[in-house]
Amino acid sequence: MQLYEFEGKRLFAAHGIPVPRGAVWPDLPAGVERYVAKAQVRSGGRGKRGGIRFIDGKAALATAVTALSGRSFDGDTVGCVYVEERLEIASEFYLAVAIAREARCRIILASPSGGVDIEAVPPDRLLKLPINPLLGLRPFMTRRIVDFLAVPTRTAAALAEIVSRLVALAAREDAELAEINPLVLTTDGKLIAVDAKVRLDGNARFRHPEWQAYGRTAGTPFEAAIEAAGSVAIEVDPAGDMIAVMSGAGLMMATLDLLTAQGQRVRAVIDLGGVVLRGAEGLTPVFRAVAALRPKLTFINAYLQTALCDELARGIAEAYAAAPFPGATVVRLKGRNADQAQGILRPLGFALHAELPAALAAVAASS
Amino acid sequence: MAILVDKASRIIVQGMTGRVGAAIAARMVESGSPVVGGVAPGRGGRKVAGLPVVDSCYAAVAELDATASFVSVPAAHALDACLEAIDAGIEVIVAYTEGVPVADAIQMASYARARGVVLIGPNSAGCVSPGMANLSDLNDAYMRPGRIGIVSKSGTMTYEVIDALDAVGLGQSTIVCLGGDPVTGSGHTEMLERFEADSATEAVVLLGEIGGRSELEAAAFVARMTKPVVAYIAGRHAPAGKRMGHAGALLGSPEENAPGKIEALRRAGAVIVDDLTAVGKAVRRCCAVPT
Repeated sequence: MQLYEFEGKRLFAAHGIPVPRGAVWPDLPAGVERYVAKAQVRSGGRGKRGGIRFIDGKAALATAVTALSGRSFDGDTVGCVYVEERLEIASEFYLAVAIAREARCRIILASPSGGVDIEAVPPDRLLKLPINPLLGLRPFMTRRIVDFLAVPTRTAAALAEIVSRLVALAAREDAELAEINPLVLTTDGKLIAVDAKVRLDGNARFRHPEWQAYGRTAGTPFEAAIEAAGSVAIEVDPAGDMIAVMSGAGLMMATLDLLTAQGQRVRAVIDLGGVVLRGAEGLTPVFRAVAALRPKLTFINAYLQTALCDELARGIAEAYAAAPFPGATVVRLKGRNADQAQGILRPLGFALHAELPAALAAVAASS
Repeated sequence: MAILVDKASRIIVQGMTGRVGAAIAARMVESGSPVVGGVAPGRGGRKVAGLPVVDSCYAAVAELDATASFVSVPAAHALDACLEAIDAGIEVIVAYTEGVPVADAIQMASYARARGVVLIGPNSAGCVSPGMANLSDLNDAYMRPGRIGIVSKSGTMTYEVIDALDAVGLGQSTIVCLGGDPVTGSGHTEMLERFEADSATEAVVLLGEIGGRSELEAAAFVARMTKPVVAYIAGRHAPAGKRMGHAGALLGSPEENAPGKIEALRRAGAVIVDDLTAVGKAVRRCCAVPT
């Protein structure tokens, strides 16, 4: 769950990481004359495309904010405009706490080349410091970061404090990513987080009731509708006219690959996940969203070794009666009680198969 | 023999009084898997599927000689359940629970490593040695004993490969599903090492997907293996920037995409299969003698 910059900065401030004075328009930070107006979008790279404006004096602000408000970046409409004080910058650093998947730990990333794409920074300018979860952050690690960034001696203690607070923030707030780019050293010697990119781990929602204040991460309306129904959808090809519905994430990826290799243009794929267990009640909102896209062909591909095929089939039949989708339907259903399931689905006129290769051939023939 | 679990395993189900835990335990009993009981804190003394429930993993080790655990508890309790299993001396742990926070997965994975315990998952369908022991949600009715090892992230993709192997007359030594989360206790490499050393395994199917580096790291070991490896990587047509159902299946750096992983595995000497349903035939061609 990606946060807006201003939400990230509020978390920074709550954890004692210095941020510029700022407010969400139409509010303004007090005692400020030189402003930066920043479009709030979740996608990156807005700066290069005019999403950040530097403005002197209140009079010019409204025009700039209006211009930013109507815009979108990478299909992501500007949520609001954050206005903050403009700083006098001496140098820019990069500092982040991320997840190192294969090392199975959090990792600190630090670079003296801040303010640019971190992917573009040469390896010798990027320090990667894994945090052993059984040790946590230790002073020797912080010293290494301070040395690597080569900040002025009088700033070293402040940098060490920011590193320690960012690591604490990532742990306390269940952040998959807490990134400051750039971390700015001002001409008067202060370290301030000028941008904030925070991505929270959606799986940790159960221990963060305060996250209800955040809007859900932007997906397409179709993806949002399927997510609300308790499944996962991915829109693949806006020009596609078939939808594929699967009983698991791995099967979803593999089926998309098989269909695409066959020359199909797939509009969207769905992983039903736990919805296979919830009958018509779970499936009806999924079918309703599918019907709204008016597919020419719908392919349901389920192989159930734990849940029961006849229960899923009853759910499909009832949900289809409540929310029929147009076009042809091919169903591949295999697993426990698959024979009874075939009997339940036969009256619906779907093309029914047990084996995946035969079902794929039926899809090819129907399209 | 097989890897991870066999007839000598003594399996418990953590969360056995829950709906899923009870169903899995009942199936283990039905299929003749060596399940000896379950754990549910505060519910010791009950019976589920005719098996004793004890209060803790310590009791399961002391009273039931438990060596392997299938953890099916709510996500909020998964970390504590796994840590207790590790601490109590369980040797092989499958964290079946999905939706576990990545911070919790990091904690359980590092404690497992520190204690030399094999942790599979979280969000794993589990591991099974057909005909011997089933520590998974895969159904024994759809698999049979044989000499092919499978290591996968996904359960549902594995079902298809078992079918594809079955269609060419091949069974499995052990099937391991690592889980689709960004951080899991075990990666492909550790399982390949076990399959390479296992006398009952003749060839290995490696199933991977986009995101992360597990398959890339595995390629380095594939290059040193004596046994044939047949590999399939899912997600070659996945759109950029979307999580493909598995939290970990998100395109990251360019080499973490399907072509990057396929190229690394091909260079290491693996047989690459483009069509999931064709895995069986590819394995058949690799196996010198009928199995």
